[in-house]
Formats: sequence, structure tokens, C-alpha cells
Amino acid sequence: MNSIPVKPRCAAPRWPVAALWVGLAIFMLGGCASVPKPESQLNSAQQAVYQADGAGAGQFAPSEMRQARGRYEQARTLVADGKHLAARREAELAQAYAELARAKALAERAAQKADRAESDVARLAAEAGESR
Amino acid sequence: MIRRSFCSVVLAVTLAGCATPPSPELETAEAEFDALRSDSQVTDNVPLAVSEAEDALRAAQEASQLEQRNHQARLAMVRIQIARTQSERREAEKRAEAAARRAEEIRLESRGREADAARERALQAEQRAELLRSQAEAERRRAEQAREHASQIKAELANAQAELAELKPRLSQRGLVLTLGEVLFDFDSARLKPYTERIMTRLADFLRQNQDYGLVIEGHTDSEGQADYNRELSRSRAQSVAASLQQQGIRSTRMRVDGLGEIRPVASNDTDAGRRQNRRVEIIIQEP
Repeated sequence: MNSIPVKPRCAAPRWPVAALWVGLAIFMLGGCASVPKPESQLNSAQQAVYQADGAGAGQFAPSEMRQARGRYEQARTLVADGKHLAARREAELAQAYAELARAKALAERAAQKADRAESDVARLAAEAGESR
Repeated sequence: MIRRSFCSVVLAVTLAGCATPPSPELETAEAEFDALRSDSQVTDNVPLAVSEAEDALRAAQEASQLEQRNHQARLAMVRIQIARTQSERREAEKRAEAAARRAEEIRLESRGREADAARERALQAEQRAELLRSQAEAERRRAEQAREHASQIKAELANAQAELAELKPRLSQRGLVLTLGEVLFDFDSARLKPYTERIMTRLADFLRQNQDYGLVIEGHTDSEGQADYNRELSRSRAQSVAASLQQQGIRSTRMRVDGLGEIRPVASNDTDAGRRQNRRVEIIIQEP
């Protein structure tokens, strides 16, 4: 009986292994639970919406602006509900849409400016042609 | 065994989180990004926006969780749209810049054209002035030549005067009038006396040198005798003068011959002296 008893391999150091699994499970679940409040994403989104608004995106890119505002509001609601990960994603999307709205507004204004410049040139050319 | 199975299941679930289930959103984003990157206009215009879209796409590709991958793929799609929009904006700016450059060119051209036109006007004015000057100069020279010509003619006439003195040249409204008196003809004859040839030669010389001058040759008589006869005689005498000049090369078309008879006396027919004066041939040299 002084021989070493044969034990199942998996169960050999029983507690350390169980502890490892529990720790892993806690870590994975905690991955969700420990998402911090997306303060900086909310701030960035808000700032992007302001800038888009300032660029006239409400007029030139209304649908993107609606997306940006809607998602920003949604992000705030989610934060209030403690759903930080979803809130962060909404805030990131809100920022992206606000930047798209701003880009569209600037592009539209640039196009209008180019159209004006081209019609000015056409007028100038016509006048120069007449005086020739 | 139950425990072992539990271990395996936990492991499988854990690994499944790492494996990549298909994500249509990511595939769409990848396709969109490929299209974006192969558009050289976009990559030239907004390289920074393209690399931001690429970063977003890579974040999606590297996301281990499906939900996170889809989220990152959506963000990447928006980044791609932003890159396209910014490229469009850059294109519009290029159009505006090109238009501004063209406008500047047109302004410069038209300013240059105005300057050219002003230069052209100045040049034309200068040429007009030059033309007027040269016209005035030509006019002056013509007048000068006319004066010289006139004085030359006067001189010639003066030279001729010695020889033509007998012809009593006088200026009338009709021109220079030379009078060939009775002394040049035999009585009742139309023939010129021989020594008058010299006078005719001199006159012919003058007429050759002054081709524009015309001649009227008029014969006159006194009131003795029949008027018809007198007219005929005066005409014959005038004709003789014309014939003499014609012999010396003066075209008959330059000469008009008239026989006026007794109707235009220059003196009284009551005296011999008067009648002598009335018997004459007048040569009127007419200026052109």
C-alpha cells in the first residue's frame, strides 16, 4: 500500500485547475462588465456634431446629420442604462456620421463655389470675346 | 469523464470566440475599400482619409467578436464614404482654382488686348498724321512745281517776247492773245510773209513744250469790202497760220480756226491806222 496511488490526470491537482477555469470565466464575463463609461467617445461625438452643424450639414447633409444626432442621443441613453459597450459603439458611429455630414456639407459648398467661379469665367470669356 | 467533457466544451467555446464566422458587413466594407484604393483620383486627393479608412477596416478584420467586427465594419464604411466625399470636395476646389486661373488669364489677355488696341490706335494716328504730312508736302511740292512751271513759261514767253513782240502779246480772260498784224500778210492775201516763219517756229516750240495748251486762231478784217468776202479772207488767213503750225508738228485738234470778218474791230475803221489794226489774226493761247 506504499505504492503511489494512480489518480486520473485531469483531477490530479484538482483545485488549482478549477480555479484557473473559474478565473478564465470571470475574466471573459468581466470583459463585458468592466467596459468603462465611454466619456471621451461621447465628447468626441458631440464635438463632431457641433462642427458638422457649424459647416451647414443640417442643410447640405440632413440624413447623415439625423444619423449622427440620433446615435449620439442613443449613446447617452445607453450610458444612463449602464450599457457602456453599446453606448461606446453608438458614440463612435455618431462621430463618424457627423464627420461624414460635415465632409458632405464642405464638398457641396466647394461645388457651389466652383460652379459660381466657372459661370463667372464663362461670362468674362463672353465679354472678352465681344470686346475682341 | 464528465469533468473532462466540461473542460473540452469550455475550451471549444473559448476558441470559437477567436474563430472567424462570416461577416457580410465586413465583406462589403472590404469590397468598398478595394474600390476606394483603386481609385487613383481619391488616393491622390485625400491619402490621409484613405489611410484612416484602411485603419478602420483593419480594426474590423482584427476584431475577434462578431458584433465588434460588424461595428468596426460599419465604421469603416462611413470612413470610406468620408474619403470619397473629401475627394469630391478636393475636385470641386480644383475646378474653382482652374476657373480662377482662367479668369486671371482672361483679365490679363483683355488688359493686354486693350494695351495692344491703344498702341494700334496710336500707331494709326501716327500713320494718319504722317500721311497728312506727306500729302501736305506733296501738295507743297506740286504748288512749287506749278510755280516753277509758271515762271518757266513766263520766262519762255519773255524769251519769246523779243521775237513775238510784234505780236503784241496781251493777257485777256480767254488767255494770252497774240496778234499777227497785217504786216505779216501780203495785201488781200492769206499767205504768210516768209519772215513770219521764224515767229511761227517759236510759237510751235512753245506749244510742243506745253502740250496742254490749246489754240484759238481767229481771223479779223477791217470794214472795207463785202462782209462775206471779209469773213472768208479772215478765215483763210487764220487757216494759213494754223497750217503753218501744223507743218511744224502741232496737231490740228489743238487748234480752232475762226473767220470773224469785220465784226470785232479793235480800232476805228475811219482811219488808215485804225483799219490796219483791225486787219489781223489773233492767236489765243488757252491754258488747260
